[in-house]
Amino acid sequence: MKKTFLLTGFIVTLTINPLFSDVLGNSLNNMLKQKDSSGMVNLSGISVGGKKRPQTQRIKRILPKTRPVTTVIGHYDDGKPVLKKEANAYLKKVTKGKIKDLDFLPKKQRLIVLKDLQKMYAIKHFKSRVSTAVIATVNGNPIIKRKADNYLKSVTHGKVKDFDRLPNKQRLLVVQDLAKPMVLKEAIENSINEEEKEEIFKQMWIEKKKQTITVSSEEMLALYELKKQKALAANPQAVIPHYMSLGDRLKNEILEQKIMGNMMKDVNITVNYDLNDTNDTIVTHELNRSSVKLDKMTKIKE
Amino acid sequence: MVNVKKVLILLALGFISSSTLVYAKTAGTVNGIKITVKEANKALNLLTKGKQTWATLPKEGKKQLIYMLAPSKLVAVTAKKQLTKKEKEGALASYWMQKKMSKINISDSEAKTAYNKMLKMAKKAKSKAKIPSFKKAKAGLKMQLAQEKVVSKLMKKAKIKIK
Repeated sequence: MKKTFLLTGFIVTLTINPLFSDVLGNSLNNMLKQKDSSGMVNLSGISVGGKKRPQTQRIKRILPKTRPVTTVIGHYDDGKPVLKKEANAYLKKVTKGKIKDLDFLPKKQRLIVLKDLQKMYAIKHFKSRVSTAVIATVNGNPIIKRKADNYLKSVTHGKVKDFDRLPNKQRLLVVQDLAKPMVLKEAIENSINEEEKEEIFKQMWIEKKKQTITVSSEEMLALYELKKQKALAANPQAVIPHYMSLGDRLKNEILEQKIMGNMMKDVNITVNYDLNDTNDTIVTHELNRSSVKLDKMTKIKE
Repeated sequence: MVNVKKVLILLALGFISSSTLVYAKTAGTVNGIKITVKEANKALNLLTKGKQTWATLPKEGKKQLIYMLAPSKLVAVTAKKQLTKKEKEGALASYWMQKKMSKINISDSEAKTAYNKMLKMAKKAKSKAKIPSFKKAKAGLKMQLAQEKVVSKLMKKAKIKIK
């Protein structure tokens, strides 16, 4: 009997204690949650170590309303629509899966995504014009694409080969560069007459020829002595300049003599003495009748 | 209407042939290349200061003149034949440019500004090339600036359309 009482008492104690502890816990919790109205200083925010406990703020997350994936968010250059799902896929790839919905982004970033997609589309679907296409005109004269491509290739050392891939600003620069020689050529054609042209070509040819001919100092000295003798014969008191001061002049004279000498070798010259007849130059037999054939020349007539 | 047209065409043809007759008068030939009376008269005008013409020139004088004009004529024809298109264009361009540049004045201060700009650019590019003094570079710079002015003047007038 005694044993039974003790056992019952022990069981009762064990079951009642937790009940009370639950009640205590709850009341303590309630105390903490309730706002203090006693007027006492609230020390709950102060840590024992003197460091301020970080205040935790609860952020209320409001997820934006997202549009369906088939929403048209813009258009490509060719007019094809840009769908939201394309932007989502791009975003997912770029952010490594951190952002999957375009509508979560602010407007500025959405625009950037759209521009990126448009650029990528333009690159992927880019079609260059044919090489014979006229890419520009300069005073009405055409510049074909091949010319611009070749110029670009040489300027960029082969890095850029297609004019059509350039932005408008750079296209203008390339065209301006290509236009310069064209404009120059046009100006030259309009301002130099045929006679001037002939004279320029003659000078150039002579200069070119001079490069291929050598003149020895003996030849120069011989010419100098000859000139000196002639001058002294004409005027015994003439002041003769020093040989060294005439160096280039003498050399040029000899060069021109040599060139002309070669030119006039085996040359056939005719002189038309009678020009009173108005038809003489057109009718060949009349010209032959009145012209005199000269002997072959071997020396330049000075 | 048709008849008028025909007459006009005939008149035009007559005019062309008569004008070629005047210019085609040949004073002589060098290896078959014609020396026209016009050319002979031009040379005579220079030589005799307008006192003589081909028509009034005695026989020996005519012969001498054709002899004198022959080398130049031959060189002209040979040059035209032997020079490449590029060479011809280059020669014409340099002649034209020199002619235009001679009319442009570049002041010392302009040259100095360009020189300083060049120095700055060389510094920026960390160039190791030795830059000549202003005194040495002045003439070249002035030429370059004059050339740029000539080209930019031309480019301003040009009508460029990009397609």
